[in-house]
Amino acid sequence: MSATSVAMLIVALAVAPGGLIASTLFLALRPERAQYPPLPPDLAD
Amino acid sequence: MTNRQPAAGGGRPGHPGRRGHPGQRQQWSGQWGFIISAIGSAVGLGNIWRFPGVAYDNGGGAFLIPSLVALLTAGIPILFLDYALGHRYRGSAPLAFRRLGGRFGRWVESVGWFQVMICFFIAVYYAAILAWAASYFVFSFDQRWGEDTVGFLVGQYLQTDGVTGGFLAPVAGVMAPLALIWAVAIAVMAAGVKRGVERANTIAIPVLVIAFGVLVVRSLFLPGAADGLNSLFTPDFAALTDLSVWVAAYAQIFFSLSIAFGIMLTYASYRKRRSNLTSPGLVVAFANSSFEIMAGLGVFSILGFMARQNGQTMAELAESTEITGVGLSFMTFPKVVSEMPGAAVFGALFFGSLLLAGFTSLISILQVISGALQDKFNLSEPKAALVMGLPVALISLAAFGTKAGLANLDVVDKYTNEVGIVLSAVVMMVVVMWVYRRGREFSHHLTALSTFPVGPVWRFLVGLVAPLVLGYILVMTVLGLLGEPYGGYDRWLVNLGGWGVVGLGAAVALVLPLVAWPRDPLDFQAYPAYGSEVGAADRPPLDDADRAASARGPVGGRPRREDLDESISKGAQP
Repeated sequence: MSATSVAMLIVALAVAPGGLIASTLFLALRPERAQYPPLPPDLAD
Repeated sequence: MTNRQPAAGGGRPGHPGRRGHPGQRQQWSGQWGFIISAIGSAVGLGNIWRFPGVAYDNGGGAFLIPSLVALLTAGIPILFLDYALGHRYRGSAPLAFRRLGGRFGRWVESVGWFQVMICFFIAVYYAAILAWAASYFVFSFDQRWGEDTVGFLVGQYLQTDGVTGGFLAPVAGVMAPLALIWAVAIAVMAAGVKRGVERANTIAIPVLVIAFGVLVVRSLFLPGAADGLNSLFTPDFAALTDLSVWVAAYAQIFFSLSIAFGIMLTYASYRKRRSNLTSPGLVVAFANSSFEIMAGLGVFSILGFMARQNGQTMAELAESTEITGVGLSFMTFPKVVSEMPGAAVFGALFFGSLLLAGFTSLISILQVISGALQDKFNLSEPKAALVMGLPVALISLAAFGTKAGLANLDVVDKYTNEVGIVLSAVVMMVVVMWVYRRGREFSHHLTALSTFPVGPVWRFLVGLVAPLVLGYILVMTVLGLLGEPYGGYDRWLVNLGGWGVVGLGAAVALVLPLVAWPRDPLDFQAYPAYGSEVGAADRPPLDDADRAASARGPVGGRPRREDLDESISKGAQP
C-alpha cells in the first residue's frame, strides 16, 4: 500500500471507530443529565 | 394551566396488555436496548454492498472527507430531528406529525403516512433480498453456483431470463425462504418492541459484528488484499472539486443511517420521557460509519484477491465486475468465494452477515408500519403484526417470489429510495422548520434532555443545508428519471413499479388522515414544556374527525379532554 493510502486508512479508522469509541465513552461517563426538568406527577415516564 | 392527561398512544381500551396500564406506550428496556436496535436498523445491506463501491467510484480515500462532512452536516442533524419528533410527540410517524400540526394537523399527518407507505414498499422487496441471502448461505456449503455465477443467479436461481416484470410464475426456491423470512419477521413484530424487536437485535447485532469481523480479518490476509485496499484508500483529491462526489457522499450517508422515513422517529417514541437523546445518536451514527469502514476493508481485500487470481489490476476488475449492490453480493462474491481456501466458511460468514444485517433493518422498517397501525387503529402488537404482516408478505411473495422478482425489485428499489425517501426528508424538514417553525422547540427539547446543547448550528443545518442538498439531489434524480425509463426497462414497468409506487404512497397518505383517531391525538402533553404550547388558551381546537372521536367518550379508561378542561378549571386534579 502507498503512503497516502495508509494515511487515509488511518484517518478513516481515527474518524469512524475513533468516533464510536469517543462517543461511547462520553455516553458511559454521562449517560443521563444530572437533573431533568421536573416531570409532572401525572405524566408517565 | 396545562392539560394534565397522560400521553396518548398505546394501550387497548380496558386492556392493559403488556404495556402496563392503558395509555402507557411501549418502551425499550433501557438506553442500550434502544441504541443496539437503532444500530441494527442503520447497519444494513447498504453498509456492506453500497459504501465500498461508492467510495471507490468517488475519489477513493478522498471520499472520506465529503463523507465526514455529510455525516456532520446532514446525517447526524437529521437523525436528531427524527429523535426529537418521535420523542417529543410520543407517537409513530402519523401521530407525531398529527401532533406537530395541531389545528391544521390533518394534512400534516399525511407526511407521516407517506413515510409509512415508503416503509411498506421497501419491506416488500427488502425481504426478498434477505431470502436470496438465506438461500446463498445454504449454497455456500457446496458452492452450488459453480463457475458461471451470473448465469446461476438469473438463470437457475431466480429464473429471470427474458422476464422484465409483472406477476408471473412463482419460483419455489425463492418463495420458500421468503415465506420463512416473513414468518420470523411477523413473529418478532408480534412480540412487541421490548420482547421482539429489542431481543432480536440484542442477539443479532453481536453475532453480526463477530461474524463479519472474522470475515474481514481473514480477508486482510488473502494474497492481493493490500492491492485492493490500496485502490480503495488511495485518495484522488481532484475528485473533491466534482459536485457529483459531494452529492454521492450526502446520498450515501442519508440512505445509510435510516433517517427521514419514520424509523428513527418511531424508535425514539419508545424511549422514556426522561432520556438522553443526542449522545446515543452519536453512538449510532459512528457505529454505522465504523461498519461501513469495516465493510470497505473486507470487500476490497476480497476484490484485491480476486484481481490477483484473475491476473488483473483493480481498475480492470472494477471495469469488468460488479462492485456494488446485488451484482457484488450475488454475482461477484460467489465467484471469489469459490476460489478461496475455506470457501464454505467464508461464504457462510458473508451471506450470514448479509442476512443478519438485513433482518435487523427489516424489522425496524416493519415497526414503522406496525407502530402506525397500533396508534391509528388501536391495535395490540400481535394484531398489528398480523394486519400489517399478512398483506405485506403476500404482496412480497407475489411480486418478488416470481420469475419477475429481480426486475420488479430493481425498479421499486430505485424509486422508493431515490425519489420516495428523499422527498419524505425534504418535506419533513420544510414542514417542521419552515411551515411550523419548530426548530427552537426541538433544539430546546434535545438540549433539555441531553448532555450537550443543540442550538442554532443544528437549526441552520436541518433548516437550510440539509434541505438544500437533498432538494438538489431530488430534483436531479427526478429529471434524470423523467428523461428515459430507468435501467432500460419497459415503460409500463417503470410507470407501475416506480412512479406508480411513489404516487400510490402519496395517495394513501392523503386519504388516511380522513380516518378518525381512536382517541383525540391532541389530547397530549409534551415534556419538557416549551413556551406556552401546553397552555389551554393556546391549544389548537379539535377538527371534525377528532372531535367526533372525542365525543365518543373515554377510550382506554381515559377521561375526555373537555371533562378534564372542566375539572382543571374547577381546580380539581384529574
